[in-house]
Amino acid sequence: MAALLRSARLLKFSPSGFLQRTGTNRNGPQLSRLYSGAIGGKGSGVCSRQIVPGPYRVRHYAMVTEQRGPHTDESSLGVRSKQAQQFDWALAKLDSSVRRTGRITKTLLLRIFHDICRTGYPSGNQALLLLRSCGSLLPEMPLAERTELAHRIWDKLQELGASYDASHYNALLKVYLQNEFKFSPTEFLAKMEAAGVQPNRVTFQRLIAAYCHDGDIEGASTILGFMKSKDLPITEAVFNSLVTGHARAGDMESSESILQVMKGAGIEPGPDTYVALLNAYAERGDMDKIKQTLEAVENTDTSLMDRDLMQVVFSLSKAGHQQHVPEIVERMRHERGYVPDAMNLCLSLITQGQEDTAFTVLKTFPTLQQETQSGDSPTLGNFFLRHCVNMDKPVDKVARYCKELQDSSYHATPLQFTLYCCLEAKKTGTLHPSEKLEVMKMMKEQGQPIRPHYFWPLLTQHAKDQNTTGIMEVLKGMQELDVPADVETMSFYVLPAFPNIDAARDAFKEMGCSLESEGFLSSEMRSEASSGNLAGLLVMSEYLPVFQLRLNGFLCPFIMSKHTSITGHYADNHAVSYFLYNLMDSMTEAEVQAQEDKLRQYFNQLKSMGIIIPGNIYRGIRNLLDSYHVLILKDLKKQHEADMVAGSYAALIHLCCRHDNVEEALNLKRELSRKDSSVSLDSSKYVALVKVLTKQGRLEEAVDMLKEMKEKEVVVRDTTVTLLFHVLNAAAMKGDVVAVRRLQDTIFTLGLATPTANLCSPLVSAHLETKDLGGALEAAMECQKQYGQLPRIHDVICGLVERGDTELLQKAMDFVSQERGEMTMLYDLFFAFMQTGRHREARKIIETPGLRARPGRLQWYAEKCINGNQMESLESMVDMTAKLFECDRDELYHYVLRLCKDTNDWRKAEATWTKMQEENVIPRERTLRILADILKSNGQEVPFEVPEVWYEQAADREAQSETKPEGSKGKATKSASTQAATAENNPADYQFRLLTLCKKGKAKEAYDMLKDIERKGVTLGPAPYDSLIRALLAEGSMENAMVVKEIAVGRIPGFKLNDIANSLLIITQVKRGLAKDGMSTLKSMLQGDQVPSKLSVTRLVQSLGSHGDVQGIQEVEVLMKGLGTPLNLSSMVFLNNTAMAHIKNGDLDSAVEGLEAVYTQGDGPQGPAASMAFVFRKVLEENNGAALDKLSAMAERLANHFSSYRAASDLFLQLLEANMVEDAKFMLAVGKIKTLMTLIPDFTEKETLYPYLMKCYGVDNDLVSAKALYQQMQTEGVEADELCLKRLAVLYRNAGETVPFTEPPVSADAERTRITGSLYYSIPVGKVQPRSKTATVE
Amino acid sequence: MAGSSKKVYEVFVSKIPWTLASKEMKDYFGQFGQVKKCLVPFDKETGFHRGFCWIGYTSEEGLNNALQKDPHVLEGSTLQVQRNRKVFLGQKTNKEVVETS
Repeated sequence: MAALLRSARLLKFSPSGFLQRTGTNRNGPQLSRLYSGAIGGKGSGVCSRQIVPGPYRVRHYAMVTEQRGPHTDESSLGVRSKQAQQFDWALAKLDSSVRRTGRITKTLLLRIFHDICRTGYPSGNQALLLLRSCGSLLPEMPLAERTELAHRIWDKLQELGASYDASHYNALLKVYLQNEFKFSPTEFLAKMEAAGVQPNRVTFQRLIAAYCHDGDIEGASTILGFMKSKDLPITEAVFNSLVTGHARAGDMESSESILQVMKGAGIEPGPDTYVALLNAYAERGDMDKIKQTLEAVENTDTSLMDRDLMQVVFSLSKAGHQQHVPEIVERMRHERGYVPDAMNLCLSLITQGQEDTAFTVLKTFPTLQQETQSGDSPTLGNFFLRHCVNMDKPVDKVARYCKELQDSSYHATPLQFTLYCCLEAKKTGTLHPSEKLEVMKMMKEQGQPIRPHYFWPLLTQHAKDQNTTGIMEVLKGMQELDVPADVETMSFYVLPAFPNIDAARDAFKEMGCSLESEGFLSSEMRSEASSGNLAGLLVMSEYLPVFQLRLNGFLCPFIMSKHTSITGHYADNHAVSYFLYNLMDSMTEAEVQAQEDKLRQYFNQLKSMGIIIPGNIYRGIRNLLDSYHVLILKDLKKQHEADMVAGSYAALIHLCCRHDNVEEALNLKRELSRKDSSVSLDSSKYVALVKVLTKQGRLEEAVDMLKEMKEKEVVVRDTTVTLLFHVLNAAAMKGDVVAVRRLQDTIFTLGLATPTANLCSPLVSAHLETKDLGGALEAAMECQKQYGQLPRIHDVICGLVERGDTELLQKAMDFVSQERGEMTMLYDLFFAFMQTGRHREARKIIETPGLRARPGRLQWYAEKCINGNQMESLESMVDMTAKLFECDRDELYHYVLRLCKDTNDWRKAEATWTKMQEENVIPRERTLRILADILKSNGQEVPFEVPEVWYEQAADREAQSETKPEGSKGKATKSASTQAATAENNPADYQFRLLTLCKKGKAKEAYDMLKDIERKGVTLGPAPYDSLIRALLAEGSMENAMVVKEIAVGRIPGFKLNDIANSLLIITQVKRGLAKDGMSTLKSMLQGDQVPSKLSVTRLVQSLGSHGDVQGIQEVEVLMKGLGTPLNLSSMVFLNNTAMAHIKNGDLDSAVEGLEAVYTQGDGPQGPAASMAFVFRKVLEENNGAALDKLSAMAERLANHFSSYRAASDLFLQLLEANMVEDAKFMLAVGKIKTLMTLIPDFTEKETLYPYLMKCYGVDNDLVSAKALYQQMQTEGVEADELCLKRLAVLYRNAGETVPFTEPPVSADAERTRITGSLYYSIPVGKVQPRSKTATVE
Repeated sequence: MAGSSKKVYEVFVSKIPWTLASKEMKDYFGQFGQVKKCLVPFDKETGFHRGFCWIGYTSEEGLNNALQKDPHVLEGSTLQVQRNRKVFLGQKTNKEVVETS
């Protein structure tokens, strides 16, 4: 459906049952009317039936585009695809709403409007869609508001650069008509003319309708004459309008005679004609004529539907003849779709002040439908009541409707529902509080209970605004209704609004509220407890005699801690636990530690008093658990063994697993099950146990654990499956085939998880890890047989190819061929050859006769190459597949260009283009665009015409129409700006051009143009100023941007830079080294409630760091914490840059101290994830030896004394990076790498590390060490890549020794360039990752 | 005594009309056994509850009694009652929403 609408041109051919209910006979003729566009007959009555307002008129919602500007048809589809997608989405949303209900809600429309605005540069289609929705599809909105909204949308979209053509103007006209908006048709035409848009037939028809609405036959005739002079066909729609026009002019005779005129002209009057006539009678209240006409219609071919009669009802009611409404309503046949149509009629009537008529219609609703089998009470008329509330209908009137609905059993609880609507509508500020109370009073009179929580919706906003007056007003209302404010009301909605308890107490006194109510006192307690204020509580204990209520238990433990003499009877455990929970929760870690003894004492006392501590408190304790020692917990556990709940056990077990303390975890688990065998742990705890058991080699116990999971029916979620994969993979990485197999089998046979390729892969990985290719192949085959998965087959085959094991390879190929087909096998083999650099063999495979292109697999490999930066491999694949059947050549070249773009290699890109010509490939637009981008960004001339995006085309179009036609396209925009000088001073025109230039990145030209405009004294809207400022800032022209800002402020009072512009400004200022200015920009942003971008804050902090401004960084950190919407900035940004600032100031000790704290107090929020790579990198870059020494010492210290390896690994990886840049540092690095290797014994990235070491030895010409390394690599099973071997071979040769292995076939030349040039070759792909990981936090 | 109080036998109740809150729920479900816990989460933004709650009984008997009755009709609305399948997630409770009584 939506696809049909993608192009505006298609739009008019897609009237299919889209918004129209199919199955009615009305469909046929109307569709043909739209299709044909023929003259006369029922030819062109486009939307003629929609002229009269009413909810049911606009069913042809999306099919009425008569004319489009020529440019949209030509605009490039690629760029528009995103817009098209968005258009589809919005359309689908609106469509489904119209389809279901025949209407759109204001909220939905506004949301789509704002979405479109936010993305900017709305397309013509989107504009049309929005405008079209502003008419009778919004029955809940008053007419004037609808028109206002239409105008708002019109202006806003224009400002954003939407260009309007005749279709838009026609849509606006339609909205005017539907909204009965009074406007001057001549002015409207003038406006179109000024905008250079030609009115068309539809425009004239609608203008005639507008005149006729006012009974202005003369005006209508003028247009009619004009149409005739232009030889435009006069359609049924025009005659229908004339029926209305004459009637409104008071000339019923002429009105009636139109039907004869039509017949004379060969046009049969259609249903719309009769509806127009019926409406004319209805407006006069002439029931006789209405009946006559209805009978007359019966005798014609046409038939009127309920929908048509509803219009008559509407007209009768609006004209004040509602007494006749029942007679019409009776005639309705309740066709399918009656209810939504009638609902819309009711809504429109209510909106337009005809709620009594609406109620008459409501009573015709079928009740049977409502009484569903659910047995729930009937609730017919909810929509009616809700809209009455929203439209501020008087309370007594709504009450009357409620009574009638209830009495006639339409609705069981109408007052309740009305109240609900009232309460819900608080945001739109409809009914006054007093009226809401009024409804409650009525409910009370009916004997219905009024409950405290009914008042909460009234209190929430006040509580948020801290509006104590408002709150007291509501409380007064509660008092009037005899509803006491209970604890919840007080503590959640009332007290928080007051600055302190005393203020609340005063306010209550003033109002005459009792301070001694249970509600007030207990919530007071709560508030004290939750602020952890023991002293306050003790003060409050003075109130104790006042209420000997359930709070006794709540208070006593604390009073006891002071006055141990008091003993009491403790009634309510909940109160105690609630208090403790709050207390725990609100205390900081330090406080808890400081008061540890006291807390322990409390627990003991509670215990001795026989108070049981239930779940809540343990939740509180669990919070402690994560933040500090397990020890305290174990202690606590011991003390309260009897009272431990399962949740606490679970948490403890998890914690023990995390610390590899499997014995303790199992103990706890046993203890738990001894206490309550029915309790089971959740899946994450079980998997944690499995993991730790596997890790410690206790495989059978791990398996038992899995079995237990199954027995206890533990819920397995997606995350559990992921966790299971990690368990398997961890075992696989250790090469523990037995464990992997045992666990995997158990998991699958128990049905804990379904066998996916991912879950099967560890078994293969385990074999691969031990270099057991045969085993890996067997494992993969087994998986295929058992579970239909063939995991990691590519890796297996690659391994076999590399090893040259033809026998196994043959076996693998036979198997794949048999299981997955020959084609799959060939592709597998092809990619394996490609991967291992055996291009000749690969070519043979891919040239197998009959092989077809498999785009998905080719894409897979291409993406692999792009991600791994393997141009050579990618290029040869593209080359080899030239003759491949059905191969999308453009697609493949596009991959190459993508990689060129990533590496910014314009030469390769250009060569690719030439190759494409050679191969006669016709590039798609996106291919040309990416090519042009690469060339442009390298300052190269683009040798072809770039497909331009719509705004450029629009600009060209304008420029061409203004300049001589010979103006070439390339220069067109330039002429646009120069032409601006001579163009008339039309702000919209300027605005459009400015936006165009900005969007094209021609900020300077736009700037010049603006200055020109400014000289002329023209004021533009805020959008172009904003865009220009952003464009200038993006180029770094801060001064010019500020000039524009001054201009804007001068022109538009209150003009402010928006969030994006301000963030850009900060970045620009920082780039210029103006950190202080950046800081003040940030502050002013925050004052204006703007949210800075993450990048801008990071850059600012970095800049402050490099300026040594420690205080500044702290200030920013505080500011960020105060931000309403957190930016999720890593705290390391601040920490690292503070360290940098210290280093800059020469205060190395402070720098180290700050960083070290992060790791030594390591259970903090950052934990081991915190990266300080940034600091190392900076220090390395700046060649700051002293700092590096200090930091290295710190890293060593952390690793040796605190077992915190993060700093060391960061340093290590940064050293690697630095090494890559500077070969000269290799010498130094050997020592460092070795040191680090001993520091980090389980460093896993050996494949990364060893080649580096080899490289270093190569540079040092240290054959002995290199030999040793090679030996080690072989024993550890780390494969030496070609380059490694080559390096080693060179060393052997230099030393005059013979090379004891086959030297890789790399030419000396190539090798040299690789060693000195390419970095990528030496790092196995995929192993580069840790670098990027560390680089993320700056 | 200590044994029975540690474990909570919970039901999950949904489709609660807006007019009922924790007091009403507690009163109604109290007929099946002693209610130890009643959580009705309210949305602090709107002031309305979210239409569901948890009822915890002190005994399994209460739980079973509650589950055996069907339908549960309260003030004209049918409540949906089911055994609570929530396991111990070890998560922190959402303080903003959960409200005890």
